[in-house]
Amino acid sequence: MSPAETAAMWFVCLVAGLIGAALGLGGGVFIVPLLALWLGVDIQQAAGTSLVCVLATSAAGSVALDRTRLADPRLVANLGVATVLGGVLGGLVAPYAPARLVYGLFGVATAWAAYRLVGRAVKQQPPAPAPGPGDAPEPAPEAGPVHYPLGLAACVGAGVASGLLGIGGAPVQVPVMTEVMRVRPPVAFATSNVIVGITAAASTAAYYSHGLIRADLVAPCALASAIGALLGGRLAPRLPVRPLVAVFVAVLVYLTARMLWKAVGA
Amino acid sequence: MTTSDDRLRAATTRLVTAALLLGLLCFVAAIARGLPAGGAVVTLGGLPAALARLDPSALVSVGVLLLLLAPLARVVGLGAQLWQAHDRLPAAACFVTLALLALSFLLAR
Repeated sequence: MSPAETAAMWFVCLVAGLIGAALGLGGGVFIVPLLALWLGVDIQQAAGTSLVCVLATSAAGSVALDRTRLADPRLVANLGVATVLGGVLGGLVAPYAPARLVYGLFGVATAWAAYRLVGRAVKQQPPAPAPGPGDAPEPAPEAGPVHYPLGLAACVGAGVASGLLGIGGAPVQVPVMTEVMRVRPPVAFATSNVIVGITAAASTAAYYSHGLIRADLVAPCALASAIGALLGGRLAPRLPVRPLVAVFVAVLVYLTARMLWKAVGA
Repeated sequence: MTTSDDRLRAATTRLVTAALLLGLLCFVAAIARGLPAGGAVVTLGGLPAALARLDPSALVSVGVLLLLLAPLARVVGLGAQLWQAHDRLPAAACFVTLALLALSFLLAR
């Protein structure tokens, strides 16, 4: 790797961790394409490396969010089982999945992430910024989450996607919690932050055992992602959300096109 | 919130923080040693011998395993917290999660 590529890798992973903490988007949707498309890494190795970054950013983010006490422990416990089950399944399948299938599914994942961000901007609702360490806990909701079976089923799917693609699953979990289960956005964000780390752990085992985690990439990427997540947690309340959303939607649209292009074998 | 609940939460946060920092420290040590291009992390079987040589890929492997401890500590702490609050069903869900995580390692070997 050239010095320029190394510097770019550090920068992208730092930003991925930062926006993962600030916008709840997840860094995996940027790290996997960086490694696979730009650095030419095998897609399964890119996914395995990204999962370790998800572990690091989730741990860093959850430590920062612990003080807010916004993560719902019952939701973490109940949805965690579903996503971990999906993560185990996804991780078992991932080493044998055809690369073009993974590229195609990843293209769908980045398109979905872009759609989520655009949808919020169109509704004049910027994504719920990450609760900062100084935020006081909000009062408990009057009613608990609804549509639990649907939420659980969706979380199994999020877990499979996490294991197969090396992403955290937050772009699925957060809208499932907010729009299907009627959980308040700050609670959904904080809860998802904990769940993605648990899910990533489930699939990392398979990648680790199959030698699909690149040592020369995972160390700098995970370090940069964790630093970015810690910074993102602190900077989130001050970041200009709408311009950031516009930039990242453009990046995601570009990545979608590239991933789908690879999927069709070009 | 009860005092014992606060203590459990604080202990969980400390464990997660420790796992994160130690894992990242291993990565820093591996980078300082110099990572060979293109190599995979050393898997469990070859880890003791590689660590004895301070192989950078083995240091990264230890870092990955430490990072895996962070969500495990989170689930254990959460399960204990919920059990103490007499929330038996979600507490049981945490223990099922731990079993699934253990299964993921067994199936992967």
